[in-house]
Amino acid sequence: MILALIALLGQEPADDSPAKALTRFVSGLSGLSGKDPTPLARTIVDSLELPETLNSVLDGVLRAESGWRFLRDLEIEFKYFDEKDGTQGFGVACSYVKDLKSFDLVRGTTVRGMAFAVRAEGNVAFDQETNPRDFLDFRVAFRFFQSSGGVVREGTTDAEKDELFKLEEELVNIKTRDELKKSPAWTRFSSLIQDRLTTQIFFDASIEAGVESDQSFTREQYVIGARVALDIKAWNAKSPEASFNVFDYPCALIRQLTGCDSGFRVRGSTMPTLIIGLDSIHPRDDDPRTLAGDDSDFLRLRVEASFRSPIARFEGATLFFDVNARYYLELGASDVVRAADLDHFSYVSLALASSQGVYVSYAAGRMPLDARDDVIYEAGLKVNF
Amino acid sequence: MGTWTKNNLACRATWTTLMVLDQSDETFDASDAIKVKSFTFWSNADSAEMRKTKATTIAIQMDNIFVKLRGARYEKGVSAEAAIKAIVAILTKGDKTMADLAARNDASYQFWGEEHA
Repeated sequence: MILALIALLGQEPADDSPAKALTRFVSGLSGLSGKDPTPLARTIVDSLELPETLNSVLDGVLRAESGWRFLRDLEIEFKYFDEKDGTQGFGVACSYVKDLKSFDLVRGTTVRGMAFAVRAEGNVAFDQETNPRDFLDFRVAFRFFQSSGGVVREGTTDAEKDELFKLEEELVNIKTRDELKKSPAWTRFSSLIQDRLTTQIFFDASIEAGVESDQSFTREQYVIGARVALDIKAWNAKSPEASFNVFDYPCALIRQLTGCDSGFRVRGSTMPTLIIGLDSIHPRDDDPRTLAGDDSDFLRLRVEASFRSPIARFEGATLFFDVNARYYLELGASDVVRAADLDHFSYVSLALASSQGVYVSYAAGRMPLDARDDVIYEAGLKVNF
Repeated sequence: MGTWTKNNLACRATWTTLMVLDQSDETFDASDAIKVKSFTFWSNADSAEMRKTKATTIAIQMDNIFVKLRGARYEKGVSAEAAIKAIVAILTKGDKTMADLAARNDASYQFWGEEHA
């Protein structure tokens, strides 16, 4: 499906607005190429112009009990790509993550598992020039993962379980958020659970092989590597580990100042998540390094970090501060590669996003194989259908 | 979307657990249609592997709370692994709702007091 979409994009180079590109496409389908589209075609174009419409239709197809269900792990989101020079492009963000076969073992609060997995993701724009993150990544992996901690081993007594059950009955009938947060029932319920939460450590290590490319597949490189994902969450707010979440200190201060939290409360539940990988890269003919004069294989370190935390309540919605950063570094890069500024790539996305869809975001940088740096500012409303 | 009622113990447990885990903080009545993409952990900028890592952490912790602290048992024929994977499957889909998650949990767990509810 993804390849078919890319092929379709290749037939219809978009040198103007997304709506016009779609108009040409629909006109072509109805044999009206070179003429005005029929009213029906125009109606289709108008409805297709909104990414949200396409997302809604596509979701219905992929999630339905139909022959397409094998694609239920495929995530496709139609979106606009906006850049600061006014360029606007239309495209799709795709991702597919699937454990083909897994073997899990649960013992107490420890969960271990192994899995064969496939992963694919990337952005595809109708006009490649407008793609802010022109990077497709396909991998197969053998994973080993483990989670330990999270709750105390001894759990709760039957009397406490009964009490939690009764408190919950009371909580579901509270009508406002403020009443809920200030209610003795919530204080007691939260305390009974929180006091038994511990720090959870989840790690996921894998060996991987795959291909990286730009969306036109003119720049490709093969990858063999290993990576570790680490997610530590200090769920108990009173634990010393929670106070180690220094990234949440500014957010905790803003939450206190805006009245979102009644006091200065650092959340160990928002500790950043980290993925670190070491890849052996085997470039093909047209990759940027080869064009710069170095066609040798190389080692590359990659890091992705993600942090998100609430900072305020506004008009009944929660406002989040959101950061995602990615960094790629070629180890022992040659002078030629360094001179061409191809030894490292970074991409940072910062956003203020409301739980009701309003957002302001800034993204800058480039990914490997991306031809240029991009800076993208966005402000708008993402509608939840 | 799954059915969201105060009498459904899966809905109640899913809602309170997500509050305890700082993923959501709305009232029960206002929570059924809250989408996964509005949960605290979800970032649109994350890679797919980052999102799955976060979702798996939360799914395992949700299972820990249900079973170890709230006294839930797995439904007949449902293993711990299957219950956790079912939660991950919902938490990696941004357009799924809290009611969808509760429905999936209802199929995986028999919650404390369910036989009397």
